[in-house]
Amino acid sequence: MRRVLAIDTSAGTSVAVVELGAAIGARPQCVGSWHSDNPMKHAENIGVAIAAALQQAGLTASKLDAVVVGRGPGPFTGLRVGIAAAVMFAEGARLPLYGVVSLDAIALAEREAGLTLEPVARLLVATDARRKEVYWATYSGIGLERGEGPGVQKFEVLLGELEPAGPLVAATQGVHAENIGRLFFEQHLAGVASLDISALYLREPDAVPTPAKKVSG
Amino acid sequence: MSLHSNWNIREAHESDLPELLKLEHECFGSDSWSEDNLRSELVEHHTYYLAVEIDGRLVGYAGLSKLPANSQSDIQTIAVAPMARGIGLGHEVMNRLIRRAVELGATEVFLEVRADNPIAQKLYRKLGFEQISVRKNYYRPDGVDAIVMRLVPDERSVQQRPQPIVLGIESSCDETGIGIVRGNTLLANVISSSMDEHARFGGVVPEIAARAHLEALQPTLRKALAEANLELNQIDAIAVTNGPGLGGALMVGVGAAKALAVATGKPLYAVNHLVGHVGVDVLERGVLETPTIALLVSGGHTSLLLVNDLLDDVQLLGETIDDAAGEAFDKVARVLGLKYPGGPEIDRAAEGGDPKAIRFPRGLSLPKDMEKHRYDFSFSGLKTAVARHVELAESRGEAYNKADVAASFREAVADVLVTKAVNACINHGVPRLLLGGGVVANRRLRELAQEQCDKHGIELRIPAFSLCTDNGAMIAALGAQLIIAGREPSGLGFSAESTLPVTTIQSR
Amino acid sequence: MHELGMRLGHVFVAGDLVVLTGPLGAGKTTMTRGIGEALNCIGTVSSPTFVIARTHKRVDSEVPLVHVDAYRLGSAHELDDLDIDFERSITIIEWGRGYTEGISDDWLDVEIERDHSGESESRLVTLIGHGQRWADFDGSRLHIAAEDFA
Repeated sequence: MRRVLAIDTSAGTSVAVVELGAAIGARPQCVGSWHSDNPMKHAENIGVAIAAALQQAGLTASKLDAVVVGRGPGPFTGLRVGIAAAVMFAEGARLPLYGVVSLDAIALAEREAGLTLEPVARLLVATDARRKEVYWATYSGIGLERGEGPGVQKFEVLLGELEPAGPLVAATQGVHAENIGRLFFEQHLAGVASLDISALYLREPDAVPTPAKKVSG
Repeated sequence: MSLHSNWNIREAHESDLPELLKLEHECFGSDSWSEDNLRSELVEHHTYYLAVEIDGRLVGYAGLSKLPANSQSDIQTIAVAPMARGIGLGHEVMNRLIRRAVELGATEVFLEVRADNPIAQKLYRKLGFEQISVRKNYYRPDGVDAIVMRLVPDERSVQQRPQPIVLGIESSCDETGIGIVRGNTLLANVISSSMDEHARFGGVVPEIAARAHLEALQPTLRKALAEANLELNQIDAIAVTNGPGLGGALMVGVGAAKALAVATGKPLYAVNHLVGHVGVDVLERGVLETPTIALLVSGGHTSLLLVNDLLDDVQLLGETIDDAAGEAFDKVARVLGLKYPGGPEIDRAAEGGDPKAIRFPRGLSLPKDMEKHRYDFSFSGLKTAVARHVELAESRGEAYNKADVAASFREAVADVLVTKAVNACINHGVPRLLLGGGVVANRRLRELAQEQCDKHGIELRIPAFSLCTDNGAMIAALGAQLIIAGREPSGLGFSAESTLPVTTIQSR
Repeated sequence: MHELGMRLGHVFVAGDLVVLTGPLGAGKTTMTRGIGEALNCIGTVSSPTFVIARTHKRVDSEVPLVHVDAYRLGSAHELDDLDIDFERSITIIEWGRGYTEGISDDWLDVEIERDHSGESESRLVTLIGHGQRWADFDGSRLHIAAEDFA
């Protein structure tokens, strides 16, 4: 398992080819990517993004070992474009398909950017869920392991619920496919890579209108 | 004049008789067929006649005869007006006749040509005909011999176009459909409907529909490939619906198709869903005879199209300005306390009912509507009228005859659909009507359409039901037609468009 | 109803949200068609019940008209699923009452009532503005006269 195509459309459209170096402990390298923060044009961008990432890496689909996709949470329509693309790319290229939680990739990005937390502090990753709500998860410890979430909640309510338990540090990074790829390699090397690629909707559609439910991942 | 002029080859019809006679005399003089001869040639069941037009004017015709049990077929005649000769029309129309003969099961094609017509003989030899005998003094009173020629059609002589294997993906509303064709031959048609889940919610629920699309992609694709007995790498190209339809659903299909195209290295064609409904006829007849009027009726669409050329010239004559016909059925079913889907429920309720019991309004059919809305539809007034009828009865504490209401409502829908479609045929001089869309399942609509078409000498085409509802095969078929015509692929940058106009057949 | 829609259409700007309520056949789509005409929308504005939402581009503006029919939506969250860019669109939601919480503090509520006994074809249209955006809105300035419905 050396080279993966990573796709994430939980926020913008992000695709990257990430390669694990031969040296043990070497940080996986991004060898090709395409990224747009535009939260609206996923269907338009996804094909161009995949082709561009491969071209930049100088590779064809046959040179890849796996496909990894961000499962969200994120706005549904966009999220589904990425997952659909990942499913079909894997099908067409005959590759195994893995899934990761998109918010976890943000925590990884924070760690790579040098974030260190006080022992009792937690990193709060919160992304726009429309309707003045956020998709959220908290991370703590040296490795920034996920503690609570993912969930969806109104931001003020969320803060009210989380703050009593200790200080929070807000994440400022966005979701990038290269971190989706890095996250996968971490999990794969630890033997915990997941084949679950189901979208993290968190809000369940019901026949009667219901208040937002907090569902932990 | 060149072959790039505005020429068209279509099936000849009895209404062409006066023009054909003129041509007949112009080309054959004393050898001409009589009017009766020509008429019986046109109407016989075992003959197949084509008319050649330039700028809408008849300039040629040709006919084939093929008896059902016979493996032999005969070119009955071919005539091209002098001013239209020398530009390849004769060759083109002969090719189509030969192809038709082969489709009908002929293994030999015969014809007779005057011994003193070297130009015609040359054309036939070029097509692969060989002289097999001579009939002396055949043409009277000149006494010219007839050369009998025969063609045994094979790959070369039928001028086979390439037959690309295309995989089509359809996800414009609640169906995920994946179909595979080889040219205009159907290889697989798999539809993964999420209908049962929807029945609980009274209609298409977008959240669930889009989820179902995502979950259905892989299983549907695998099932289609298995049905066609093909591997993905044997596909030549991929086609996908990019509109019109439900935005979220379309996006899933578009994302899937683009990724599949990049992974397999195959070209991708983005096609219009409505035009797909029209083009599906090639899977049953080999060609789409044009021009044709097309009436597409489903839950999401009610459109009347004029199709001059499937790939280049599709015009919207009219559409619904409020509800689609399928929607009207669903809503009226609700008013009558029936379940979803409304079509079959109303059919059931209408049994034994009198379609003439209540004269419900036929929307946009008044003289004042003819100027701006001649071919448009409106079912809102009809829906209101049914609701009012029921409310009035209920507010007075009276019972109402549900069967009569259902039958009368259905009659109103069928009536306005068929009347406008037939009028479109008549007013545009197009003797062909194609029906498509899920509402085609309604028997009364089909009955009435057949009745009215027979009455006006219009040829009615209704493809098999599995090809009329939203499906991937129609998308694949349209993609194949584009490839055969040598069109460039769509690239990877196109978007999903919920309101894609019918004039945009392929998106780039 | 079409005429009222046309008068109303000229009032709208990006970010506006209209909730359109009324029974079957009240004229919601007809009104929206009028709004679409006033906004120079491309393509026919017809009922989006089946497709749920339709986005209409406009001839002279980048701000599209998004026409939604919540008739078949099971919950407000499914509206989110459509990922409508409310801030940059003019959105009209038929059957939208109760579905717009959290989307915006400002919306225009339009209710069309039919005569339920079925005896007459008259309609009663009530417009109520919510939030700052609609604080100064005066429906009487739309100058609708009875003749307009002839």
